[in-house]
Amino acid sequence: MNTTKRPSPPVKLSKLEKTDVIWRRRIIFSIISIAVFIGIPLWIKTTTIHRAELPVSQVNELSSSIYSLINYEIPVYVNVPKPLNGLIDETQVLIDSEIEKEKLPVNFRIVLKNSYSKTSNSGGNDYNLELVMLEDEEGDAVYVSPFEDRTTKLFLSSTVIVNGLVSDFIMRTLIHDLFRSEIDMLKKIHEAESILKIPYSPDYHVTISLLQGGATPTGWDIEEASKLFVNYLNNLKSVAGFAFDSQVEHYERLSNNTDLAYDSEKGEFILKESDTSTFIDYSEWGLDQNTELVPSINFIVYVPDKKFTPIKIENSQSNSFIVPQWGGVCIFNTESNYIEKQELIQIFEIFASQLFQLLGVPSAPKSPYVRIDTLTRLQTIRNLDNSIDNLVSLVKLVKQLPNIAIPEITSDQVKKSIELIHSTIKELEKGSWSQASKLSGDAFVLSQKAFFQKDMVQQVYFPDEHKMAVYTPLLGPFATILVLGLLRSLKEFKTLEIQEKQAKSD
Amino acid sequence: MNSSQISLYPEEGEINHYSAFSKLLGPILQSTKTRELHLRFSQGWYDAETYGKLVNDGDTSGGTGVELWALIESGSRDDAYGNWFKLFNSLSGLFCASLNFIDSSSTTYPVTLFQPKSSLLQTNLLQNDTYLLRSSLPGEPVCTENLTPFLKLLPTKGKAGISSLLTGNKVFNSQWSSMSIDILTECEGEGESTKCYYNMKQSINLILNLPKTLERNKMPIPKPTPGSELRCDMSKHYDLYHCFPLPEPTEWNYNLHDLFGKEIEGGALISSEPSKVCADVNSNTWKSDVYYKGKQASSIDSENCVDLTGSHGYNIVFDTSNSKEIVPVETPPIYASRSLSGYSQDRGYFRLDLLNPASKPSRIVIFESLPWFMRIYLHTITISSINETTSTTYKITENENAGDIIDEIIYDPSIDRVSPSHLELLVTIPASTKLKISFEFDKAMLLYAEYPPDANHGFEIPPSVIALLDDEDDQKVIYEMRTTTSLLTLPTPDFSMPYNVIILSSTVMSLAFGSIFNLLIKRTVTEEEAEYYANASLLTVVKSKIGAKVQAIKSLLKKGKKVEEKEE
Repeated sequence: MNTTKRPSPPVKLSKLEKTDVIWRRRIIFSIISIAVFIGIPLWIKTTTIHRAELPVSQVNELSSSIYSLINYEIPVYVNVPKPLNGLIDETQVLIDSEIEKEKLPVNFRIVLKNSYSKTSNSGGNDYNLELVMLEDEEGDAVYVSPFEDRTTKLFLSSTVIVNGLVSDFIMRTLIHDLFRSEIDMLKKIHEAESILKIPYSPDYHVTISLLQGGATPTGWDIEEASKLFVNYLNNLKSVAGFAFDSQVEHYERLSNNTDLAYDSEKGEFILKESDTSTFIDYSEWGLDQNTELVPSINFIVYVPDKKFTPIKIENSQSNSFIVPQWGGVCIFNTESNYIEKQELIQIFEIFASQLFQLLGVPSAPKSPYVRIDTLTRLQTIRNLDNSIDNLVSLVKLVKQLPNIAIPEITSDQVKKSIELIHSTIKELEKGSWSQASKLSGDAFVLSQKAFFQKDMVQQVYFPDEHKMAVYTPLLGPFATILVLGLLRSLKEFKTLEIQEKQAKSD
Repeated sequence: MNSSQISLYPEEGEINHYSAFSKLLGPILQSTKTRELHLRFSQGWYDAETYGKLVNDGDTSGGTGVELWALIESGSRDDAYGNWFKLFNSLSGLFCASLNFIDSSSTTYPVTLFQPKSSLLQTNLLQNDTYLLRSSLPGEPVCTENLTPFLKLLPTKGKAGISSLLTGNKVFNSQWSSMSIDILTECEGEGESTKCYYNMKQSINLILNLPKTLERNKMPIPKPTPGSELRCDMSKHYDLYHCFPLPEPTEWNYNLHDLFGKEIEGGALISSEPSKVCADVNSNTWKSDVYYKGKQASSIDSENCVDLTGSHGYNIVFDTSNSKEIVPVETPPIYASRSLSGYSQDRGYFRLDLLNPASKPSRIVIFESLPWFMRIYLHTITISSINETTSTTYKITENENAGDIIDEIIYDPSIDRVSPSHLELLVTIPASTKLKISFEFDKAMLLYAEYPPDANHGFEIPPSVIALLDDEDDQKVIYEMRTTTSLLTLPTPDFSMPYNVIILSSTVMSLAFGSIFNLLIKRTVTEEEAEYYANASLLTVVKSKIGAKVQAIKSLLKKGKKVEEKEE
């Protein structure tokens, strides 16, 4: 049996030299410190993604307090002689307490002012309340002017005056009639908007198309009639900007899916209400091809082929229907080859009311100007809300994805958007509604731009596996060598200590 | 149909009413101040020797792929380029084509060719200079998705008139097809009352291979002809295994429905003039009849044309007893073909062959727009002129006019990644002479990210445009043609290379670092000491212990065997 022999130690083992050990240690530590203090910072600096700072706290603060920041009052001018200012004060108290009861999310007030103290520069957009004394005993009435003067006339009978109910009457008119829909809409501000409504954009493109099902061309007096429609669109300026054009299209046959029932009694083709959704042939009619950036609102005058004339829509007086978030259609049955101006104006009136619905204009009160004002204010608040929503989502997204790059431009857009939100709030306080609407629209657009910034997306997909593949061949061996060297030096240091102890004890 | 009046400089809020002209194009043209727009979509190879002269003297045919040129009004060249950029990006969406791949490195500013024809230029309405920009995408596959928007621009939307014949699968099964759109701004009237409107011309040229098309109708998926249907030459030996095929039959009977899969769905009744269909056939051996609503309506008149005035299906039936006798093919006034040669990775040769079949000298313009990665050497231009009797070669360095062949050279050298080389040569070809124009070029290396997917396929070089000029008027182009695209192979790297390089160099670096590091921190001892340490190390101790155990087991086994033997 062979046993391995331990070699006998050489006569004398050389001892560890203290200076050598210290030198080696210095070498190791200097290399490690180069790696740590130069290598790692360099590495971090060259590989980190640029993340511009977002005003996160501002966004969060705004999102929690936006409604309390919005604070606007609508002045209403009453023609009360100065000595009767007491009446105004009395009514004001009534109105305030009534609004208080509604528990609105924003600070909304109706402020009564004496029209005699009105400064001349306030323009024609003020609300006026005219009190008219009636000789008659009975017949209290309210008359809302449909014109631009935004005047409401209150016809007061002497009974009302005698019983001191004037202030009550004014309060009721204002809150339950003139500003009822505004108050209702404010209450429902958190709820989803009507499905009819076209998503907000600061600019729209309105196109009126004359589509002809048959082969014989039909003309129309668009040049003249369109002027009126453009005037109408100009009145909506405070809500958004509207560009307008028109087109004539031929050979737009009804698709095979359109279900027309022939009513032989009346000699009419009936389009069922439920079938209106398949009436427009989006693929063939080429209506959705919009080459512009702004969203378009489409209105279609459809002149059916002679074979299918007349087409009547079930339960529709005006023979028209709305396509939610898209536009409106009016079927115009004619035997003639020309649509006269008068006929066109009637069609355009249908479109005008459809446009109101598509934009989300409230249905009350009667005055269209007051309704547009209401929409302008509400849209402003909605825009603020939506812009803040966008910003909050952006902040959340950035938090969730630590890999995402944030370019400076996004940060700038966010900051600018916040600025615009603040200036909108200021404008609202001042009472310049259309200016506020414009600013809020800009804020909304900017917040969207910030959220959809294309430079942000690209970096997310820089995969970690690739990084690993590139780093390991270099960093792996380096790190191993360094760590092993460090361990060896520690061990050596220990041996040195033992050696020294032995030397001492010897 | 007449289009509505347009204003050249629309004011804010001005209303446009589109009737005949498409609303899709109008706003694009107005917002980019485009005064003239020409667009060509082509595919296939036009074999001039077989097909003859191009339709409309080549005015409506383009080079393979997509070609776009436009006249843009603008204050400066940079502005014009900005509008051009907007224009092709909008058109890209409209025509479902990759026009958005156009950039400054493929855009040229032509000097002698593609000159505008709008009557607007004769008026004094323009407030700024106009710039002519042109670009082409030779690699763009033209297909159905380009045809659909093309038809949508027509007032009839392809639902009536001749355009109702066009369907994607038939049109693009052709040997060669070319769609063109030309929009001009025309103005009428004097002074204040001048009215301007857009004038759009759309045309489509096709070359169909008749036997192939009809064959495909019969058999959409090609299959071998069954034995019973084989037409063998009876005068030669034939049996089950042998068959000498007869030449194609000369009797043909087919109609429009066979060719296009559809009939003409009535005339375009909204237009002021009726649609007209003409059949240019040899009336001696060919008969063409018009069918309306499935019944024979009339023979085509002496002028071979028919007006479509009804609103129902028209079909034309062609019948011939001898298809060999056809209307003679008109020979083109010039032939051209282009090729790239040279086999190395870094250099190549460009060669253009031209033939003037006429018995008089022709003046032509050769237009080339070559990508920047093809670095051409203009001084190497060599021209060989070959006719029946003589053959001469000229070098441009020796003879500037190359023996009166080159009249003028317009050259705009390329800038890397910014602009292409733009070359226009005004050349006179002597009567019945072949001309060979060649020069050398270097192939540039592209950056890693600049290679397109499938880089080994090569890079398409846009076709050269060759225009024959009128003898009297240098400005007038009487015939225009394009060569095919050429495929340029560039040196292509192995795309996994960067990773390999990183990994390899990292390994080398860490090896070097490791050895130097070890040298620095290792302690030096004498050989005896080293041996002692090696033996005393844990590894050696463990090794020797395991060895001892193995030995012990072995000896135990041996003992056991011996015991067994003993027992036996």
